[in-house]
Parts: sequence; structure tokens; C-alpha cells
Amino acid sequence: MSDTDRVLPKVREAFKTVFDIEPQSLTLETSAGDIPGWNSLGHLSLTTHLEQTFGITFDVDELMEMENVREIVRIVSAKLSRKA
Amino acid sequence: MTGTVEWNFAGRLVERLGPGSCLIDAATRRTICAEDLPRLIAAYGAAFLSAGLCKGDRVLIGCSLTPSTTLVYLGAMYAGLVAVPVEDRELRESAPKLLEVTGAKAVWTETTVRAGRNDKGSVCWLQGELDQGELDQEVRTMIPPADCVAGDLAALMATSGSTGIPRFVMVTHGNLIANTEAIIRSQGLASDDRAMLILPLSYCFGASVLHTHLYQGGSVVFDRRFMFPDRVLHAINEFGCTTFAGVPTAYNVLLRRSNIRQIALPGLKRFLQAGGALAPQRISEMRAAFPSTQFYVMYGQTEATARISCMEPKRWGEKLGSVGRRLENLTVSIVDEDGNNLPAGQVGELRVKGASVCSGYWNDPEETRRVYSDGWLRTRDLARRDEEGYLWIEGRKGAFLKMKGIRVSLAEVEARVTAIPGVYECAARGVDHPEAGEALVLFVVPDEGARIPEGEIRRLLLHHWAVDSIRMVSELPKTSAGKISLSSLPSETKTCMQLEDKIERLLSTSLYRLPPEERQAGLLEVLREELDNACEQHSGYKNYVQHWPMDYRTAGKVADLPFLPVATLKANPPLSLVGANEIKRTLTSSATTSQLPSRVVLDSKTARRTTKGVVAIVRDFIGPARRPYLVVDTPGYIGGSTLGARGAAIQGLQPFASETIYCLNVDAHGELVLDRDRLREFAESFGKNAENKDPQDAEVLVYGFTFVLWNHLVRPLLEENICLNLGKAWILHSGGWKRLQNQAVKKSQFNERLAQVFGCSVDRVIDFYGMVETVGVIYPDCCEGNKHAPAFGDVIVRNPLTLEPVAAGEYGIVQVCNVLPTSFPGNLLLTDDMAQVIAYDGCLCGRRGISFRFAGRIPEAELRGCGNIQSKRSLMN
Repeated sequence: MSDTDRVLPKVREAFKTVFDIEPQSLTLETSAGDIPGWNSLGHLSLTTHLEQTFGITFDVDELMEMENVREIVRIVSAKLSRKA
Repeated sequence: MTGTVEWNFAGRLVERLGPGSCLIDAATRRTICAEDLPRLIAAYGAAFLSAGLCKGDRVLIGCSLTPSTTLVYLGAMYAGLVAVPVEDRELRESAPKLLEVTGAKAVWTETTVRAGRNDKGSVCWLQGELDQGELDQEVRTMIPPADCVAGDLAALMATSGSTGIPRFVMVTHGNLIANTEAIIRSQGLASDDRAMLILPLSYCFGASVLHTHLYQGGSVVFDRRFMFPDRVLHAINEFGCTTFAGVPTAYNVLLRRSNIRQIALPGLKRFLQAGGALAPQRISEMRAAFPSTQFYVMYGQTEATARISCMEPKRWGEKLGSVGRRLENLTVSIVDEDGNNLPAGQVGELRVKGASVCSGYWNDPEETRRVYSDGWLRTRDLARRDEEGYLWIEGRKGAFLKMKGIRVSLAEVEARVTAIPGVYECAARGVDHPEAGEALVLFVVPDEGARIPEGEIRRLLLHHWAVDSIRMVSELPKTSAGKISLSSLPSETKTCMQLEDKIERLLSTSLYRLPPEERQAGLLEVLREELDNACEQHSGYKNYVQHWPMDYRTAGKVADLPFLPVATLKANPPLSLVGANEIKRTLTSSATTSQLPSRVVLDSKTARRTTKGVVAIVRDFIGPARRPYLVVDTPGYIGGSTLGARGAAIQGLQPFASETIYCLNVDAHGELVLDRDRLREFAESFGKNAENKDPQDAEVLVYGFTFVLWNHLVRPLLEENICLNLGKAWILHSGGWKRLQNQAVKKSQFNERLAQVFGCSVDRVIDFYGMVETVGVIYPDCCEGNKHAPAFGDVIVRNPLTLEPVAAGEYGIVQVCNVLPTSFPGNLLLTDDMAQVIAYDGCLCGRRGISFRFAGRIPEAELRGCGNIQSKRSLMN
């Protein structure tokens, strides 16, 4: 099972909770401009939710890099593998 | 060998001045007449000597096109010193570097400049004109010119090669005498000749025009207004000039962007052209427009003092395109790759030998060996010589392409493209090409109002030329001397890069570590593009920009770009460069000192960048960790689509928060009150007493508006002698001191008390300046107490009256430059705040570029003083 397969469903869940987005409409290419509410405040809610979901913490650089779903998956996967 | 007075170039020049010799400033009509000229030159020389300088010492001279620059320049040589003329602007910006390279013992500028620190401590700074007292004293005892031998250094001239590293050619008194006399003969100059000089003295062509006219007993008029060419044309008549000198750009401007055909120049005897090839058909146009004025084309190099060859006007019929014959006291040869002489008609490198060929580069033996050998100067220009000795420059060595196996000179390409009707200017460069080997990229500027389809240009090019692309551009980048700046032509990768990526790149570069020149280049490129976009989106703004005295598309410095007074952002409805539906958020300034708040509109792109901007800046000060965030305010300030300065600051720091705690409430009277329970809880969870083992986690972030922090937290806790024991707190505050001045709290005192209450050291308290108009940029104090500009922005401090950038140490009005906003015209804003420039580089905290300190608001009276801002403001309406 690839990182994406492992991480993406939970990321989709987080988007559903925070932005009320249909999980299936979310692709790896989805970025901030595509989702109403994914502004700077929304971004903080999303990342806090992700931190709680995965039991990880991001530093501010990672926060700033998480501009689209692909980046989110990449950073979360990297964090998880370091944790493991 | 002992020297004699006769070898002192300036001494000779002074001796040869005639009864009509004078220096005139066209703009102010100020004239230095023949009686005063020798004494003033000697007086400036004497002033340097009385400042302790000795023969051979270098003097950096910040040149502007003025009589006083000339006096100082000639005065230095007269006194046996080595004049190092550089552009005033360059000196302001890179004084430390120039001091280092030249080892200069003195610096002179028209206005104060004291940029950067100089560690030598022995440099003498002089400014302005001698006052009457000094003059009387020096003039009474007019010193004789210093004794010299021909080989003594007279000047170091910067080469115009734009590699970024200043390189100086060593010019001796003997070189100057030889070249000046040869040029005079080639042009038949006489004592009644008067030059119109629009070229800087720091450029060898400009200097040679000045030298030759004064040396022959003539005079010189200086005019800094060539951006308005008609004014210069009128001044030629008004002051009776007989010589006009220009680089190719100047003639292009005259032919296409001035009323040269309507303004008769009856007294003008000659046009001089050098500094690159002017397209032959432009020469013909000039000659047709002025049949009775001689048109001289000259070729030269700084490495050979100034001029090498001269094309005499009577042979134009047969020799159009030639740069003429060598000056009489020079020997030239055309050699092949192995240095063998080539016969007439064959193309090879042009080499020159003679009394005006310099001896090398200052402190650069390696480059000297590359360029000079056995008295020969390798010009690195490819040329051929015809049977009669006329030289034809074929191009710069290296400036050739091999297309489909045939060598083609870029100069030839440029000349041919420029000859196409409707083309104003062209620059060519080569790129690798899979089939042709190399191919051309052409940058073409069409004539004003002309439309030439790309296909038309392709059709008119030679069939063996491979063309990769043709770019129609509105302007070509120029150096300060007006030459096309090859290094500034957009390269392949740069043009492909979208504006968004360029902004992103500036956001992610090392924020405070870029050398100032590098920062300038990056900013200039992006800001120009943003101005293009803004002008396209907003006709009022475009109108404003078009009335700016300098064209932003050719401006060489960020400081030359058109800025807006911040008050224009008070417009209602707010100035916007995007559609109403794209506006995601409106920021409003707190209108404490001014009646109306500013409004800035953010689209989602700008909003995202501003978040990143603040994060990148704060990160540089406190590191990337996220930590508990104590906001000394109420949660009410966050959210909604409009946001004030307080809310913007609170929110800007939010990305550093792992959790956020607000410790103020609003009571029944609408007053802010401290929520002591929450504060205690926060202090106990993260303070020294907490049983926390991971030191990283004990770091906390505190933010409050300066006066809110003071009134609602610091003062009450101080009274009760409470310490929060948050030893690892970073405390950021902003919002200014205005409201605290009544309570007579000073910044240092404030920071100390704050540290005392939180139980941390005072260097963890950071005061930052921010205003909603400068979205995404804040200015925190560094450990030295100074503020700095990040790579994606810059700060220029301007003299309130002249609006020129001030020198280090001086106070002025703050202009902020910021590439982040694209949804409103906020890239270049003149604020209402004053600041002192501490240095232009070299803050001890390690951050590069300008360091400055704010010094309060502009007093109203001074604001009225900047009349031209006020009037510019009215253009927007």
C-alpha cells in the first residue's frame, strides 16, 4: 500500500470535516483556490485537524508548503514514516 | 625621473582655458565663468591636500552632470591625486565596495553620502561646494599643479562591462594628454566650441567631450534632462552649443521621440556618436535632417582612455557603416586567433597601440594580462580594415552565432532588423538550437504607434539565419550611459517564468542575506512586471505612471519607479486591480492620526502571499517551531471579511501557534479587561514551574498591540509585582508609540518592563512595525535595534523636499516596496512615516541591505512641503 493510499482517505475526511467537501471530489491536484473557505484561517483549522488525526505536529515551514492536497499527503507521509 | 608641471593633464587644461571657457548648468543656468574656473579647480585640489591627501591617493567622486562635479574631478587631478569618477547613485549604494576596490582615501559627493561603515576609519568624506570662506582662503594662495610624469595615474575609470564587479582602468596623465589632443585634431575643435553634455563624467566618452572642449579653450553645458529631449534641444540653442554627443540610444530618442525635425539647431556644428553601433540608416536620417551639421562617428574603449578611431563626415558617401580611421597617434592591427597580422579586408581582432592606450586594470593583474600585452590592447572587437585604412567593426568577440554552419555577428543582425521600417530598436542574442546549432532570439521595439507583425520581420531576415523567437517589447533595458544592457535582457528561463513564480522565488530566497545589488535586480524585474499589470488594469494609475518623470520600463533602480503616496489608498471605493467578485478580504487601517482609514483589497492570491510573507519574516527572528500563542487581546478581533491592523497582526502570527489563548475580555462597559485566570493558567502550563521536560515545548509566543499590552497587562502586573515566569517567551508587539507618549513610556523602558513581567530576557521582546497598506511585510527590530527589509521588499528613505534617497545617517520619509500585492497598487508606497537610515549595508546582526529606525509621523508642515507628491496625487483623479 503506497503512502498516498494510506494517507489520502484520512486527508479527505479532514477536508470533509473542516470545509464540508465531498471526499470524492478531492484529488491530489486540489489546491487552496479550488475550495471555498480554504483561506489562511481555514488552513489553520485544517492543519490542526490533521495534526490531531495523525498525531503529528507541523512546523511553520511545513504549514506554508501544504498548498495543495499532493503536498499535504507528501508532508504527512514523511512525518508518519519518521514517527514509525 | 622628476616630474614637471607640463605633464599634469589638469594643469595643462587649466593653462589652456580661454576667455570664453565656462561651465554652465542648463537647468539652473548657473555659470562658472572663465575668471573663476582656474582658481576654483585649484581651490578644490587644495582642499583635498589640506584634508591630508597626498599625491597618488585616490578620490572617489560621486558624479552628477554638474559644474561642481567637474571642478572636483579636475581639481583632484590638478593636485596630483587620482580621480575616480563614479555615478553618484552607484556611490550611494556601494560605497563600502568601491572604497575597498579602489582603496580611496577620500570621497566627494554633491550631497551627503555616508553609506555603510568603513572599517579603515581613515577615509575622509567631503561634500558639496566649498563655502565662501574656504574658497577665499584657497584662492588667495592658488596652488600650482602638482608635478607629474607622463606615467603618473590621473584617473581610474570604471569599465562599462556590466558584470557586476567594478573594474577600473588606470588612466595616466600621458594617456589623457595624448587622447585629448588627438580627438581635438580629428574634430577640428576650436576655442569657440561649446559642448552640450548629457553623458556622465564617469563614462569615458562623457569625460572625453569635457576634456577636449576645455583643453581647447572652449566651454561645456551640462543638461540632466535628456528624458525630456526637446528641453535639451532648446538648451542647445539657448546656450549656443556647437557640439552634441550621444550614444546610439540618444540618437534613436532624438529621431523618434523628440521634435528634432521641428527644432532648428542653426548653431550646432557637429554631432558626435560613440558607445556602440548606431544603425547606418539612422546616421543617414540624422544627416538628412541636419545637412549642415557634421556627423562624427567614433569608436573607442575605456581601456584606451576614450577614443580610438574617428569617421570624418566628408566620406559618408562611401564609408557609411565604418567607424573611421585610427586617431593619428595610434597604431592598429587586425590579427587572427594566433596573433598574426591579417591583410586588408579580412576580419580579425582589432588591436591598438599608442600613447593613449592605458597600462591595465587597477589591482587586477590577471585581467590586465588577458587584455594588454607588449603595449597592445586587445579590444576583443572583431573588425576589418579597408585599403584606405577605414575600420569596420563586425561585432564583439564572442558576440557571434554559428547558424547552419555560418558565422553571423549579432551586431549585423541588430543593424539589419533595425533597418526594417517600423522598427525602433532591436537587440539580438543567441540560444542553442537542435537543427541550426544556434539560433536568434530577437527583442524588437516597434516605432511608436507602429504595428509590425512578427511574420513580416521573419520574412525580411536573411534566409540562412535561424530564428528561435521574436519578442516584441516596449523598451530595451539600458545602462545609465544609455547603452543596451545585454545582461538585463530577459533570458529564456526568465521569460517563461510566470509572475507568480517570480514572487514565490523572492519569498523563498534567503530573506535578509541577499547582497543589495542582487536584491535590487530581483525586485526591479518583478516590480516592473507588476507595474505593467497594474497599468493595464487601472487607467487612472496608468495615467499617473505615465506622468512620472522616468519611464519605469527603462528605470535602472527600484528607487526610480513611480510610487504612490499612501493617502491614495484612502480612496473610496478602494483602488482595486481585480474584479469585485475576486476580492476576498478588505483590510482597513486604524485611522488614529488621519481622518480616513486606508482600505486595501486582497484577492485570494495576494492574501496567500501576505500570510507567507509575514511567516517568512517572523520565522527569521524566532525560528520555525509552532508554540502556544498568547494573544493579549480579545477573540473579537478575528474573522469576518474586513480586518483592521490589530486583527491582521494577530492573525499574521497565527501560523506559529500550536494553540491560541486570548487573555483579554470586554466588560459590560465595552472596556478591555485582563482575564487573570486564563493568563495564570497559561503561565502555569508553559512557565518555568511547569513539569515540562522538553525545552522546545516551553517556548511560547506572545503578541499584543503595544498600548494594549502596556495598559492591560504590563501596568497592572507591575503594580502587583507579578512575574509570569515564561522564560522562553517570544514577545512581539506592534502598533506604535503614539498613544503611549502621553504616559511618557520610552521604547527601551517598555521592552524592559515587558521582559520583567514575563520573566524573560529583554532580547526576546521584539517591536515590529507594520501597516495594513504594506500587506505581508512587517519590520521587526533586530538585536541591534534596527529594522530591515526582506528580499521581497525594500525600503527607501527619501528627503522630504527633494524626494531623493537620503544618505546613511539622515532622516527622511519612508517608502516601502513590496512585490506581494497584485490586487491593489500597493507595490511602491510613500508612507507618512519618517525614519533614519542607519546604514545601507552591514548591520551587525548579519542582515544585509538597508538598516533603519522609524522616527514618527511626518509633521504636517513637511507633508505640505512635498508639493510634487500632492500634485501627483491629483493626477489619479
